[in-house]
Amino acid sequence: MTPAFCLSSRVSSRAGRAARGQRCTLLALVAAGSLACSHHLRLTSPDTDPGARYVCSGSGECRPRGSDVPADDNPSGTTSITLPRECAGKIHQILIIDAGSSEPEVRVTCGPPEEPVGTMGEPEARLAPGER
Amino acid sequence: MPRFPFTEVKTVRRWTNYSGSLPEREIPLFCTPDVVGTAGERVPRKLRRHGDALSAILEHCFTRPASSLRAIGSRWSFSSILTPELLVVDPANLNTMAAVPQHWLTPSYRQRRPSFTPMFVQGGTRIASINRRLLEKGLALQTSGAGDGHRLAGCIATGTHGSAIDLGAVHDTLLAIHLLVGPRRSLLLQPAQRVLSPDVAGWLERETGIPTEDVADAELFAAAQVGLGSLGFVHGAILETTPIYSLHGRILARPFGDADVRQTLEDLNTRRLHPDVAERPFHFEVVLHPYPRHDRPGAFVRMLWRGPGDAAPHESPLPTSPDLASDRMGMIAQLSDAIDGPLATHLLAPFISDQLERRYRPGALAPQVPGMIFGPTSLPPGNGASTEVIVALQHVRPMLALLYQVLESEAQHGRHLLGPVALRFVPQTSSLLGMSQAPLCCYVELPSVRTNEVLGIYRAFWDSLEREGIPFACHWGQLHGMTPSRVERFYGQNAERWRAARDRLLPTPEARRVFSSALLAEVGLD
Repeated sequence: MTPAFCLSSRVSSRAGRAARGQRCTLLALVAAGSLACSHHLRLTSPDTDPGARYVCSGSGECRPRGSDVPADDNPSGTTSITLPRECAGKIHQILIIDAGSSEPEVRVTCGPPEEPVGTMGEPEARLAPGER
Repeated sequence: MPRFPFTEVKTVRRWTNYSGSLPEREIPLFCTPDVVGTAGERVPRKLRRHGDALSAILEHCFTRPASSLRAIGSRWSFSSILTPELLVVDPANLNTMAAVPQHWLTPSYRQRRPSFTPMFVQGGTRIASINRRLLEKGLALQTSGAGDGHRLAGCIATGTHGSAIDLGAVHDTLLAIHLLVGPRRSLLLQPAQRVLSPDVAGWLERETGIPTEDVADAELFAAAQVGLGSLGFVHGAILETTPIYSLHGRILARPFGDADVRQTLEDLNTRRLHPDVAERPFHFEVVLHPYPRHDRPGAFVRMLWRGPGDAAPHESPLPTSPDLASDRMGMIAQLSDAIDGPLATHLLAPFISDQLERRYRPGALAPQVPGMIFGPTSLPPGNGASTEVIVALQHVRPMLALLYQVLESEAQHGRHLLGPVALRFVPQTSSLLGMSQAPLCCYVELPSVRTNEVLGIYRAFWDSLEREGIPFACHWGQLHGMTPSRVERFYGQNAERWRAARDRLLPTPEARRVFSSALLAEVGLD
């Protein structure tokens, strides 16, 4: 699909005497949106695809996510960070320093790859349990 | 809540598609086969786990009483083809790929297409994943859509295409389709001139545990190539892949009314746009300004030629982030509906020019592998709209004239398209419901931020085409103006043949009910 335009700079394009009032309203709303939002971080691992979705709390509990509205995952004030390709999607730990700031630092520890237990003399790669 | 083997089952309270064009709804049974943790130890192999899960889910759908099953892909589609009812299968983990051994191919195929590699790909595999994994093997898809986010089953179910002007759409590169049509019944459909020996169906049966018939039938295959998600569960397909290649090219920025561009849109003789290159491009597309200005370019041409695979770095794209927050995009959509007046066009046009000129900078395009060019989208989720209208090449001129009449007339009332006009080209398909029914077809796409005004522009465009007697279809996965009569007019006998094929594949009312969809009812194909 050909992308639609994202109208991030549309605010200024609405300049002009006749549209000045509308422009001010738009500016105020966009500014309000910017000011009101908190900071969110989107961490994405290269060379991976989206699969099952979960939500985790500070108590350490993770559960299947009971809501799936894509726009909910793209709120104002989101900083996007691409995780290291070198981890190959396997992450041991992520520590976010200053998560609430506009310049967070993300410290990533990869998990080493682990092949399923094999049998000497048999081919390694088959569609076996544990293979993902 | 029912339990299915190796499957996570949950209720999703709020669900919608990527663009948010479908109303939010609850899905009582959202089933994801083969989630880590649902498999446990001492479990069967991967495809057997999938087979067990899908058989149990189908058994449930066929018996209580027949309830609709929708497999959702990446939810790119704007149309009701996605609309779920009680039960959804998320095929995200159905992503096995396996090359078909040479000795399971017929001798005639091996002789005819010696450099191609048939590849089994499960239906849940994303195009991005296919690109990555094929690249590792020195292979590539022959074509794909403009982006790589689709899952294979959704990609072919909706007729997704690129602009490979001498090749066709993704479904035109299929060699076989593995359809689950009942709890314990599946078919490996291939054309009458078979490519695969019965060993392939035997392998699928052994791996999945689901009895699999090997069926070489031109009519059923042509129906299933674009099955609208309603001929069974697309467990996988066998795609014809090709040795890795690179794409290089150029972008031209011309005035809106440029005579060479206009003429090329009507005859697809691209040579006048690249007089220094004898070879016809592999990929040809044109993007037009919806509200052209005399002082700036209004027609942007992108042409890509195929080159050797080693001419480009073998790399995969990094993830992209949405260009804009979804809530802000929603706000813009609301304001756009609210702001009217004749000045709006004059204010909007320079902005669109800025966007087009930034995105389509004229000049040479260095070689890249196809997965890099047709990569991830940065389109924000929510508040999106798009329609795509397909006409035969000979109707491009009157179709564009009508479109620009509609755009101008609507603009005079302050109603604007907030996106470009994109034209791509695809040759005739052998499928019954692929949109390219003429020898060469033009696909004109109108992506936009979704506003009430934009939806009105789409309707006005569809209606004007009908009024002027220009035969047209709409992309099955996008917002559409297809009605039963428009389907009959465009597809003719093919619509009836598709229904007949559906009756053969799904002979009972229960089976047809399980794989029915809102889209089928809208367009009279149920």
